[in-house]
Amino acid sequence: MNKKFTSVGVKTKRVDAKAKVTGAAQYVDDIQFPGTLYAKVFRSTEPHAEIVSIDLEKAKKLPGVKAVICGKDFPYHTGLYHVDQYMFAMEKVRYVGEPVAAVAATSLEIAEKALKLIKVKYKKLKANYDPIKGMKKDAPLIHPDLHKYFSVPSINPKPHSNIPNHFKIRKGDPAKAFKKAHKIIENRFKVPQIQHVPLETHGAIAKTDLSGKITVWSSCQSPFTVRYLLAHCFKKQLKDFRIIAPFVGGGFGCKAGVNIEPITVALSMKCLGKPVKLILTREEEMYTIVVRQACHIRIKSGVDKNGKIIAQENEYIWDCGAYAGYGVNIVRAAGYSICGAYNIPNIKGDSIGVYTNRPVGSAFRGFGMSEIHWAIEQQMDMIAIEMGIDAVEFRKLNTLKPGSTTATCQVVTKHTGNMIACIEETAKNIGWGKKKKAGKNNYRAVGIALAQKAPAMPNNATSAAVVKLNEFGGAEVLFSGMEIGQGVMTAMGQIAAETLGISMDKVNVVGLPDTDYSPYEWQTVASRITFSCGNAVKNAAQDAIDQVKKIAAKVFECKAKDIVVQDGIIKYGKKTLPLEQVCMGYQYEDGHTIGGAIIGRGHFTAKDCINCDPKTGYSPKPVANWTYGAQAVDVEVNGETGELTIHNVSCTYDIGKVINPQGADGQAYGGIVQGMGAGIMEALVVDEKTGNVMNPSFVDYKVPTIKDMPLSMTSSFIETQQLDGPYGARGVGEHTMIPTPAAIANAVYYATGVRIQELPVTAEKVLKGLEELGKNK
Amino acid sequence: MPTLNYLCPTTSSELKKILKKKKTDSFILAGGTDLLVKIRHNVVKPKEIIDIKKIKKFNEIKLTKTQLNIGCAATLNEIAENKTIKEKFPAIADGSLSIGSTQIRNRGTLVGNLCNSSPVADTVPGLLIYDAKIKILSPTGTKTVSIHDFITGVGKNILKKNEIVESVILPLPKNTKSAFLKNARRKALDLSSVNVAVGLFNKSKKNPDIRIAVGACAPITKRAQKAEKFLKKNGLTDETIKKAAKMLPISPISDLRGSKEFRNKIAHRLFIKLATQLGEV
Amino acid sequence: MKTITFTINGEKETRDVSESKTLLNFIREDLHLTGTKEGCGEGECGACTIILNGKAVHSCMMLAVEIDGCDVETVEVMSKDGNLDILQEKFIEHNAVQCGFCTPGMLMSARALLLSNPNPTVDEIKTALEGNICRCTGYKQIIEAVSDAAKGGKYE
Ligand SMILES: Cc1cc2nc3c(=O)[nH]c(=O)nc-3n(C[C@H](O)[C@H](O)[C@H](O)COP(=O)(O)OP(=O)(O)OC[C@H]3O[C@@H](n4cnc5c(N)ncnc54)[C@H](O)[C@@H]3O)c2cc1C
Ligand code: FES
Ligand code: FES
Repeated sequence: MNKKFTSVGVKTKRVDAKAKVTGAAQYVDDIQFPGTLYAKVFRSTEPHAEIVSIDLEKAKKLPGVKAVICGKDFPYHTGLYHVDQYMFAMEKVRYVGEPVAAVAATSLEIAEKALKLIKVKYKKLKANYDPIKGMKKDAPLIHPDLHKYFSVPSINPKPHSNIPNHFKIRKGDPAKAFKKAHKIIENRFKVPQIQHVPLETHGAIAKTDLSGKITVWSSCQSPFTVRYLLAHCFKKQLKDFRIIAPFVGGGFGCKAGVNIEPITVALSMKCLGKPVKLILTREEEMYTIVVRQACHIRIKSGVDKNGKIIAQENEYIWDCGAYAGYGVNIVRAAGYSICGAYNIPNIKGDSIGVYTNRPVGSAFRGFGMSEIHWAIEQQMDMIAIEMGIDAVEFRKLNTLKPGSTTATCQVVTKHTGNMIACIEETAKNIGWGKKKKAGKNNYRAVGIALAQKAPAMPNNATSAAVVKLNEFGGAEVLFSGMEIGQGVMTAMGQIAAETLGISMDKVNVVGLPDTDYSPYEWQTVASRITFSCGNAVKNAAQDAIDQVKKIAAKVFECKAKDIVVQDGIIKYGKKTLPLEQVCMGYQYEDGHTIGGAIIGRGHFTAKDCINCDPKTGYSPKPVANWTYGAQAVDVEVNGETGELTIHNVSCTYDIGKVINPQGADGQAYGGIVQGMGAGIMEALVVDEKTGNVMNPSFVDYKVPTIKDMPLSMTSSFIETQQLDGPYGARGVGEHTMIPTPAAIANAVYYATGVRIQELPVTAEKVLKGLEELGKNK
Repeated sequence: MPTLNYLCPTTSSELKKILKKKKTDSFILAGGTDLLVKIRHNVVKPKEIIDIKKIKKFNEIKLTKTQLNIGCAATLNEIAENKTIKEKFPAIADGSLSIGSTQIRNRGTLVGNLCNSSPVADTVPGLLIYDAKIKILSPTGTKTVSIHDFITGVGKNILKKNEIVESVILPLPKNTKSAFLKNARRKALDLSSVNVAVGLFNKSKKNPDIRIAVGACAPITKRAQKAEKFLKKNGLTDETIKKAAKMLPISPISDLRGSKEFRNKIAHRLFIKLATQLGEV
Repeated sequence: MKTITFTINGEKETRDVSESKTLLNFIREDLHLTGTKEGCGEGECGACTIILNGKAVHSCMMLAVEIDGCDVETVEVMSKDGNLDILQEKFIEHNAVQCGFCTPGMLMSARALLLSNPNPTVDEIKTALEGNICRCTGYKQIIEAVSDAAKGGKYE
């Protein structure tokens, strides 16, 4: 493709930035309706218990209280891939923080007071926080009704167990290959639960009007999924719900499905005509909202004499927490991506989800990939070291290349992506192989890690868009990919402008969806929006421009295919016509008019994706596409305190056509720093005596500040065209945080000889390691 | 928050009258960076709040020939940026600067840090090595107590319900240098896992007048008298410093900010580092 | 209730306010200036940062009654006349904004810095912004934006 682009690929200012820097951008809590009622949720204080009784009577009598509800008022289930959760706990509670009842009152103070008047009696059950124990045959069941739950076809729950999904890869003959291996290397790794920490906590407002129509304003990533799940949950029609999504102050996966919306809606049904607002406090957000799943990992690799991996066993045991409505799909995603970006002919892979009594696990930027790459990418270094091969060379030898097959036996082509280029560019930018100077008493080295990820979505996940041309020759672009900070509004505007042949400033990006008016979008997850929604927008714009050409062809008396539209001008040879003269129909001099208001429509669904075989994981195309990347991190270790300083991070991703270079850089830097947080400081700690989260606030749950960020970061992109991507683009939003933790751990090892296999790489662990080696200063 | 009575005296005599009637559910408000968090978490439930910041002289940092007076409403940033404090009491300036973030230090006060009496308070080690005096105001007048007698437990001090700290008095030292170091999980905006202040109050390496305080490692942060005496007697060498490290009066607990083993190690290292540095120059 | 008089974004106001209301809630609920955000309510995130008598402070860590007689600025002051402030322009130009939830607080901290120190070093910028958590951007583009806005040292 050597066509010159005017919008796509051009550094473009964010279209939502002005609203955001002025404070004009409205987030859900900024919406203030008169007469609003305030909601509060009564939450379980037990990690695992039967509910003996719930007494709401005193709370109901408190003046100012308008509704108090619990499970028996709304005995409804929610869940996306696997329907295992009641909106309020019914017979049992399964984690501390689980909603049991809720209150709506005329003020927050009254609602809080009312909570104190609710009395719930529990009969304690033994809680389990360890998925390995939970997998055992005789383990007490956290969900005794698992066999009755509905799950989508790609999920394989194991009846009468604590396992809501088990995904298997059986490729080649690993047993035989291990026998032939020159060396066998086996290691274990661990990942804790972590919190997403969007700066805006979850919030929603619901209003059921007297006609019964329910409107929900929600800080969510997927308004249409919210609508769908609400309609299911309340056994109503889709037309009964209208979801309006204001700006979202960060999601990272935790706002992917439904969260607090059902509770807010249920309360509003008891307070007709009144908006009911529920905004979570940071503490509630930390211990009651979904988290990234913990994972226990074992990898056994067999290598031949040349350092080629010929066999591998990967075992991922996921701690799904108390519910797995979304988590089961992460188990699946980790399954079909089981050995990361490597070409391994013989694989036995098991990705197993297990219920525990911890907070609920769910989607988190990377969707399982950050977790498994922590292990895979350290294992690769450990093999390389054992074999005496340079880590970069080892990866180049073993990574996926055209002709390789993935774990599901999908064949990699030259269009899939170019990992070798990513590795080489990254190594060059970080100065791989050059010694870095450490301060007195310190150690310093560079580590590298790779990443691969595909959008984990149902094969029929679809996107739609509408492009309406306007009287000035501009366009309104409507779609429902959610602007959660990643810059989707700008990218969609660029794609529309490019396709329409008009400039960006003529495009009105209508990015905040309203399910009554906006075209459908499945979900804003999986780094799929640029790809999928981008295609829909491109198709819609193309549809509009085709209509323009059809009218213009009549005016010019030529064929539509000979017409071009550039810079808002319709051109046929030397003849021109301003676009605005056609957008609302063309009027001849005598007044008669042809055509009319132009509305383009477009949709996109990825083609030919096939579910994996439940026994072997086989699928020639389990996912729409793959994004590859590499990241290298230059780390200095303080020999006295174990503290890490990240000097430099360089990363390279093959994302096909870069739609907005500045936006892509932003995703890279943001991902690196979030990855760094997960790498060196973040872990949600549960007290195994009480089930309480011990660090449910920023006082003891730390995320990186501006002083923690790497002193320098560089990002580059390889542009192997995605054949079915809009202008050749594929996604990058999540990938940027996947390799960071493992790259840090690898760097720490090269610097000090200390290998940390359990996240996060805290100063305390590093110092302990240094002491064991006698290397502390 | 339940309804409150907010009082904002502008003179000490007005304040004294208020203090006379002060009850236990009435709280002093300086920067509020501890108090508002406590109210939010229902740790305290004030019925009345007495804001002391509008009393002009409480905001002053005043230097006389013999001492420095830090008023109870002087903010941490004012202290961290104050030339005299930076020069004469670097461990206090650096301790103040290490607290929270710019926004916290623009509101929070050193006296609030002291009165909050948390074991992790970052200004306390500095105050201890300078033998700060605490000027206490009550309805009947003022008195002065030693910093060493002020804190009595975790979150506890000797103040009675109708007393406040009016200022902290620092006797001007001669020939001193001091330094402060803090270890935390993050490079900014974090509570100390360990904090250490060390000062050298004479120029003798042989009989150093060294003063040491290690915080976040015991319910009450205290001076390391045994280590100080040992060094004074045996001089400041790499070896004596290492020995002295073993004498620090610390008994850390394990919590989210670090295990007790880690805290012990870090306390030793930070102390050794500071003592060695001060001995060198 | 207590009556307080203060200046908000250049205009003098007199209001009755409940003694127990935080300044953050007062700004958002009573003054309807919703640019100022709550991210934690306890001084740990900086989303609620405003400028009080020239200094960046957390509005969640103050009672509204404390601003009696004070000068208060919120993010809305920066484009009061319809034009963007140079910091706002640079934030846009450098892509220092993603979800935007931290942005008003970030801008307030940056403004307070440049008002008192028109030529800050990168370290000084980091210290000024150390209390403002951003979960999206990785901070790099924010530092570039503030550095660029400070160029020439004429911020006002
Ligand atoms: C986000 C955040 C980060 C923090 N980081 C740190 C840190 O790194 N290190 C650290 O040490 N602390 C830290 N703190 C705690 C706090 O900021 C400091 O202790 C600060 O110095 C308290 O001062 P203040 O003026 O805000 O106190 P206030 O909250 O006003 O008062 C604190 C307590 O002392 C009482 N009090 C105040 N003044 C007087 C007086 N003159 N006489 C009698 N009683 C009085 C109050 O009634 C209250 O009980 C942090 C707090 C927050 C919110
Ligand atoms: S809301 Fe005030 S600091 Fe977070
Ligand atoms: S832009 Fe989202 S938190 Fe900063």
